[in-house]
Amino acid sequence: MRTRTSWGLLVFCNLLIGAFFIWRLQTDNQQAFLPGEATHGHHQIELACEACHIPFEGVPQKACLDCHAEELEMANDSHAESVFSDPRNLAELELLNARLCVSCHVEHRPGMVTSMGVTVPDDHCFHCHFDIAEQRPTHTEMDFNTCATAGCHNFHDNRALYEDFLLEHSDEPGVLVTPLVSKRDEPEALGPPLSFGDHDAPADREVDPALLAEWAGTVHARTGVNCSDCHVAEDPKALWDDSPTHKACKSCHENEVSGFLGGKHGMRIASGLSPMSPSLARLSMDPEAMERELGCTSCHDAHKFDTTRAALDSCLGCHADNHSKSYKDSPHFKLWQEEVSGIGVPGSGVSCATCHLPRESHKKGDDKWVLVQHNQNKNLQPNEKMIRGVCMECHGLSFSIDALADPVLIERNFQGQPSRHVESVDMAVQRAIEDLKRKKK
Amino acid sequence: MLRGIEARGLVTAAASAVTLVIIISLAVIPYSRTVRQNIPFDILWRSGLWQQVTGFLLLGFSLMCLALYFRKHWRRLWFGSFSSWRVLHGILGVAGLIVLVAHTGMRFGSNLNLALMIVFVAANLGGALAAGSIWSRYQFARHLSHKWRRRIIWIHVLILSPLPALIALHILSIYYF
Amino acid sequence: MTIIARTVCALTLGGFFLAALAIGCGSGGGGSGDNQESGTIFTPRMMADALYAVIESDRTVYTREVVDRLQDEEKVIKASEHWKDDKALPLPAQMFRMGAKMASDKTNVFSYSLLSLWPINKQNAPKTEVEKQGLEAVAERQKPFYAKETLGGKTFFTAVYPDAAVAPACINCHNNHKDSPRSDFKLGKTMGGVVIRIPLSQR
Repeated sequence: MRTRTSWGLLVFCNLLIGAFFIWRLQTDNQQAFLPGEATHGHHQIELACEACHIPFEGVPQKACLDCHAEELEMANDSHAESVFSDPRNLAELELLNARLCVSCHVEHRPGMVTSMGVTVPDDHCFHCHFDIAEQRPTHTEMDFNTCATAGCHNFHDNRALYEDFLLEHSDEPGVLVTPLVSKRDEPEALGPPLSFGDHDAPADREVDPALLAEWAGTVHARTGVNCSDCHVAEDPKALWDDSPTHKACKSCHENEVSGFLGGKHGMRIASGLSPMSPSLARLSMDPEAMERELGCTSCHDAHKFDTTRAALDSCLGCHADNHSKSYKDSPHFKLWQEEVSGIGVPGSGVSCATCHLPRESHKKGDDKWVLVQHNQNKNLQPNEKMIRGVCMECHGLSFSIDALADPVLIERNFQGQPSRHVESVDMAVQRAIEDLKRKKK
Repeated sequence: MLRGIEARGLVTAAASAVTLVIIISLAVIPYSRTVRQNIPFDILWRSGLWQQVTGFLLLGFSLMCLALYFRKHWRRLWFGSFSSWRVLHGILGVAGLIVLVAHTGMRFGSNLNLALMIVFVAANLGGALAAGSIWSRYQFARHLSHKWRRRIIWIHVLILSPLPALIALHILSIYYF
Repeated sequence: MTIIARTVCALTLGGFFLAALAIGCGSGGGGSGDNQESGTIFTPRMMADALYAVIESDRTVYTREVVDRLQDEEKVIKASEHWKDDKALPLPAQMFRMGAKMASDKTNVFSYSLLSLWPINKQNAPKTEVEKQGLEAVAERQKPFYAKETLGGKTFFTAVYPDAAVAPACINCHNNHKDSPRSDFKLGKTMGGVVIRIPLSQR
């Protein structure tokens, strides 16, 4: 009898545990199954399991490409899947299946991650490039774990690091002659300029005159964007929405909103989770900002839409790591203050956004336009991704490479000079000279 | 004769299990930092195939350990003495711990995996205690009373009780995600 | 009691069986059978020859009618290795490789590549024994070379075709590039080989 009771209890207790987990599997919160924390790139959406996983199918390559394909394409991916698809590479693929993202970027294995969310050892280049010293005698003394960690090469994005590019920009000074960023373009006006009295908020609503005054002073009013253009409800029956979301902004700022949703500030919303908040961040944040939530208006304000504030004060309202805290002592901030106060010419200042939400030039035929890239992840890591689009607007290539390869200098927000010189530009020049000599003979 | 063998077997099992549990709880075998190592030991944790081999081996050992229970309560169909079965049980327990190291690299993980790992390690510790208590019966004049021995074995079994569900869920989660 | 015990015993055995099964399934994906249509039978060699005719013709047209004409005769646009950055035409070899990449995304019925015993990019040097033999053979005899080879457990029909310098642009670039191991390529002579592979087995 006692045995039977024990068995009954055992079965009951196991069924209970099983039922709990299976119930969790049916809900949105599947944290109970999370085997380990995700990398810095994905931790925000680690509870949006279905963003990457398909039940009983694992993580298909498509899940990675849904978010990263465009970026890899833009980066001219040096190790694109197609580089390996020829059967002649089969032997090497058995060592490391580089056709799949998840071969080198395994998630939920905290102890396995090195830098950049990579989970294979730093010297993985050895598998295929073991004989590099034969082609490049300058590389003889270099260790394979320094290929991608010393500011010389990236696995995917070498747009600012390939040899001919180094050569082309080899004689640039630390600071260029015209260190200016491009002027930002605005969307087309919706109509003629509007003033305070033209607002079209419903008559039954109490409207704060201060808010109206803020609106009347913005580009929005100047370009005919009225209250009802933004306060448009998702439900077609309702005429008004008190708190419009990014969806309202998207009707005019599609590029900016899709950047926001693809980046660290909006990826949670894009995955159907609650908005990102400093309390969920892994970087140091201001303790007083912990409960804030990120949407368009958290940086741009709801009626002011002050881009000067959005480019700096909004960032420093939450970010409190050493790099952020050192910014106001940096030469970049001095330039920004000068631009804002009118001493410096437009485009000469460097705010947080200048580097992290940079202005990107677009071109189609004779049309040229400049938009702000709101996906800060596009040029964040590896930081050499920032060289071409950001640093080289104002700085020479070699100086930019040196600065970004110096973690202490980055932490001090570029107060001072790079402590170490990355020799890649010198090597490219040296090889070009040798080649010239060879041809003369 | 058998007593001697059983005593030696049990004490060895108990001592090995305790040592292993301490090592498991304290140390983590790091992943290799180079692809140029002579013995690519961390393939155990990097390759899905090896994870399945060690995982199902672990499951097999666990199920075989369960045989002791049936040898005790279902005597007619089994061969061999209960004492030798008990020694085998101890050896299997220790072997299971070794495979556990191969399966996890001593990383406890989070959530479900953490729960499973804690239960598994604690159960082995309980098993080691039980082995020690039985061994003490042969070794010392003032050994633990029968009541205490039973209690320790009971604790060993009690810790093990959520294991079936946790293992099943762990296997499910691996194939589900 | 007995029923429970029996169940557990069955589970023990079942567990091992499932383990073996799961490992078996996990380690190898199933191969699908050949799906041949009836009618005309093409041998791998015929298929390779046909593919080569298309690949080679397309690139020759691009080299002569686009690159050579616009770069060297009309001098309106240049072809450059860094064509995106330089806002230039892709080099004929790059156009070839881009096509090979795109084809490989669409099908695994065949694959092709451009290799040489004297490549600018060392990753395009022969890697397999058949590639080496083939490239040496076509450099010597200027005739196609055919062989079977096994790579990663799969058997392939591998054809190597001589790849000659069809335009001055080819030899100018290859003779002057600092990574080129040779500077004496001549117009009309073999510079490397087009390698076409057709898998003969799925596994």
